[in-house]
Amino acid sequence: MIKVALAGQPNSGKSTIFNLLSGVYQHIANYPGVTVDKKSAFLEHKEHSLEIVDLPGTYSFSSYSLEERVAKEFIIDEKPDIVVNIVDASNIKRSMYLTFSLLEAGIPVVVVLNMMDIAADYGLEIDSKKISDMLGVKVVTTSGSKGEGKEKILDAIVETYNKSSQYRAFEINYEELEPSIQIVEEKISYDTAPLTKRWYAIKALEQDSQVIEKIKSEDSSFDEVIIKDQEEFFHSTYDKDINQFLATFRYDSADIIFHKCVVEHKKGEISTSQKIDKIVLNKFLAFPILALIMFAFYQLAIVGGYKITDYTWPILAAFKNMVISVMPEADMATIPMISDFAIWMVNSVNALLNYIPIFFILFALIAIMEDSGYMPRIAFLLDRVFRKFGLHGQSTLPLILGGAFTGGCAVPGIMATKGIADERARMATILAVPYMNCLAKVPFYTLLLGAFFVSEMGIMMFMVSTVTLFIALIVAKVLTSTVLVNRQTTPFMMELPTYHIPTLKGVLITAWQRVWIYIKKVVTIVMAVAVVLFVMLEFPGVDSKVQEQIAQEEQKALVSFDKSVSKTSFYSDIDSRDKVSSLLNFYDLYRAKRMNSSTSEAVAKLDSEFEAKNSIFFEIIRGDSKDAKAINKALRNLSKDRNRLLRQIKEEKISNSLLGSVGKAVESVTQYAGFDWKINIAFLSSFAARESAVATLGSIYENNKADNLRAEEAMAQNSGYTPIHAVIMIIFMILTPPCIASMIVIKLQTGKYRWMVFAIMFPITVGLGLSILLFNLANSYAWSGLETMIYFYISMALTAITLGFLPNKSINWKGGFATK
Amino acid sequence: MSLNEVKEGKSCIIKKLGGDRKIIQKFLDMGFVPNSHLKLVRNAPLQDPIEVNIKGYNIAIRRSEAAHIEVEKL
Amino acid sequence: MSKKIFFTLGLLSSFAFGHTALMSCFDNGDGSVTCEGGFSDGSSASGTNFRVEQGGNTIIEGRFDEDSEFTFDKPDGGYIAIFDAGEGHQVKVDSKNIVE
Repeated sequence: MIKVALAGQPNSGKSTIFNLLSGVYQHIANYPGVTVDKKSAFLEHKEHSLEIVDLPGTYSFSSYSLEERVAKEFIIDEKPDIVVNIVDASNIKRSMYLTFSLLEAGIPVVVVLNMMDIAADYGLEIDSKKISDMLGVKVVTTSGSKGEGKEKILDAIVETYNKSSQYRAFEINYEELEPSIQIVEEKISYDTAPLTKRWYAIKALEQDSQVIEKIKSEDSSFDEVIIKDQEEFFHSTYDKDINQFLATFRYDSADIIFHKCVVEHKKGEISTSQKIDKIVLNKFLAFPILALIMFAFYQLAIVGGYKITDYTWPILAAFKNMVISVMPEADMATIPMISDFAIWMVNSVNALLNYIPIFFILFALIAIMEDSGYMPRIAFLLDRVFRKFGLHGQSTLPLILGGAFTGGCAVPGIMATKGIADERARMATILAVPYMNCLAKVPFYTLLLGAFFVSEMGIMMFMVSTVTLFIALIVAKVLTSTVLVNRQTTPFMMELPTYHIPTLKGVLITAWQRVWIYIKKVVTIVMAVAVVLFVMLEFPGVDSKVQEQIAQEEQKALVSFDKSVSKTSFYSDIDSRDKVSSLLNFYDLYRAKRMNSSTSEAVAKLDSEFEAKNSIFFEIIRGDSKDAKAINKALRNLSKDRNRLLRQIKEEKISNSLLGSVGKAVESVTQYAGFDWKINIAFLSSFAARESAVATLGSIYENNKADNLRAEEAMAQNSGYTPIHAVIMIIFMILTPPCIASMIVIKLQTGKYRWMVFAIMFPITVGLGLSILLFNLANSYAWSGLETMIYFYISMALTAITLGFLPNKSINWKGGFATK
Repeated sequence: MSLNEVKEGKSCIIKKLGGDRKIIQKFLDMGFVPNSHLKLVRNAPLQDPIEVNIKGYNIAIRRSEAAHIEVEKL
Repeated sequence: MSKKIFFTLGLLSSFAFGHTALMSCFDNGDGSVTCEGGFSDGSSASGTNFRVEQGGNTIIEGRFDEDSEFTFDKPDGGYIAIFDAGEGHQVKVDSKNIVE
């Protein structure tokens, strides 16, 4: 097995090359102990087995960042056989800086000059053979984004591997520093193979703490003092700092390669990327363009996505019907618990899966933005604003994923914070993302708005969807100034890469990986919670008095049915409760499946299926005879009666349930915000299983009489709630966490439970506090619902803007006994 | 003068790097080594960060960081 | 006028779709047609607006009952059943797809 490490600077197209080599079969794990992705793939080439590991993108091997440490650790501890260095061919002067560091390590290197197409666009003519001769390693040219180069790379790897015994470690002559290197090298007493002692010595002189620790762990007699001595000596003798000296040398070497092997044909001309930037980063056009792009996102992802769900929903519905048909049958208004449970679970899953088309499109669009190179431009535009709140230009992606302007999902948003180098900004982003617009909260808003704010729906929705950004900024600022003030910050410097046309494959892979995260994390967690929720809502169940009443109503309905059908020729087949119950279930199932059949062929198939099941029943519900039609009519009434009873049972159950008790228990506090136990139940169940919230909330207020009122209207009329109640509910919903899944992802990203708990308690406490405050203010001053919302909105906006003007404190020192 | 003070479109050469070890290392990683030429491409619409072209590529850097880089006009 | 601006603003920024609206219809075979509405997350459609259009004119209008159904006499010729799910979202079913 040939172990290959893929190393390269960010934006060198390393991921594209990795995708090219690995196809879709990528294994993603974590590097041990850290939240950095480890992508690996296995392939066969020319009778060799290869394991390819994609190291994190690093600018050099000298820095303090997590990515650099992880990459170095892999090379030191896992000792790959070959290192493949992906180099941005359009930028040799800068990108070969890493190459020289890698060459010095001692492991055979294959240099891949990627993005040759862009280099050509810049008018650069590169003599790769000459580079190969100068460096003494194989050099391959590719254009990853065009899908070219896979064979060349694999051939080079195998060739190099076969000749590896002849490989001699690469050395740069560091002139003035050589004596110091010799001195340190002599002090390293153990075998460092396959890496060279020289590399270790150089790294030690660079004061690379990770390498120094490694040397000490292998040889406890190694004394760091020698490093300090050499550093002082060098500084006093040559008036130079060792790190800067080494860096200059490496850049000079890269320069030499450039001057000797590259011919510039278009020197001085403006590149395509620069032309695009003149427009996209123009003082006046930049923000309008950004706004336009956001709007396009909305149209494609949300509107377009929902159109697609029109086609995917029938699949989910068919699944539900299939589940129903295999479950034990109902006996009038008594549904076996297992069937109830199965239907509940299927509904939960379907509601979640229904979002997949929308998320797929959204994530694909975001991937396009990342791959094309536009994302760093957004960070460039917004960094100044974000920075004032303790965030970072790179917080843009997570916030957009979480739902900025359009709806989103906090789960992929939080996971996307992996790329933020600045620890403090990363934490602030993780804790701010949950405040963005969760797509699944929307039905909740529309239910309430539809009930109380029909005519002002537009403006209310506008406020709801934009206030979240202000709140996220406030939270970020507050946390950065208090709880997070001790975290490390890192310098901003961010490359603005050449614009690329994204590859379809790359976009699809990234989008799919994010959708898969949604499925794996959100769906599984919510399903687990749905089970708990079911129990909390089912037990203790309907009390005996109500049960009696239901039984009586059942009887009444059955008797009335019996009267209508006793004179028909089919009577012998439907003269007992059991038989009638059977027929009723047959009828309901047929209708449900019929609803899902939209073509004549589908109907014909359905009909033959049901006729085979029970030809007499089928005759009754589909037959043309007078008797059949009469029974049919009575059956419809019976079905209506049953449904009515079922709804009543449902409401009783919820009122009596465990969850109901919890809701009642907290009422003593929540009442100050105007929340009674029914609202509490709705919030509790919606936090647990967001998508089923509306159904639960709606059913609590459903009118039992045949009044033809919409759920919203029923709520408006029957609940005794006012528009103020509704607004406070909406505000509370805005301020509280989207779902349990997102909280669990916070734990995953931060590595600590305490942040997860914080992320739950902090918003709920603040949310409840604000709700209580606003509720009382609104009532005391007799504000209308709309006014309340407007005041809330303005106060949030003003707070955010004011906070933006307060300076950020950051800790610039370290030492003493403090840890981290 | 510091990089912070260079005007849009002007070129300069790096003389000296200042700041703590961490930021100097980052400068080195990104190509800001003494004696390198660079050009100030543009200021962000909100005036900060600034976009600089150095060693053939474009990089955004905050003014507070650019203040640590001592340059000489070309 | 300001109402219009707000509405457009609302449309522009409101991720007004929260769930998929659904409707299915079938011909009962006895001269009547039944349409049933719903939402993907299980919210009830009862009480929401339903209408039948023919040649661009509304010939039947009403609301879904508590079972989220609406039954009407089958019109002569082609027609379109429309479930007005609110927020600008409408579900339409063409009569040629309504089978017995």
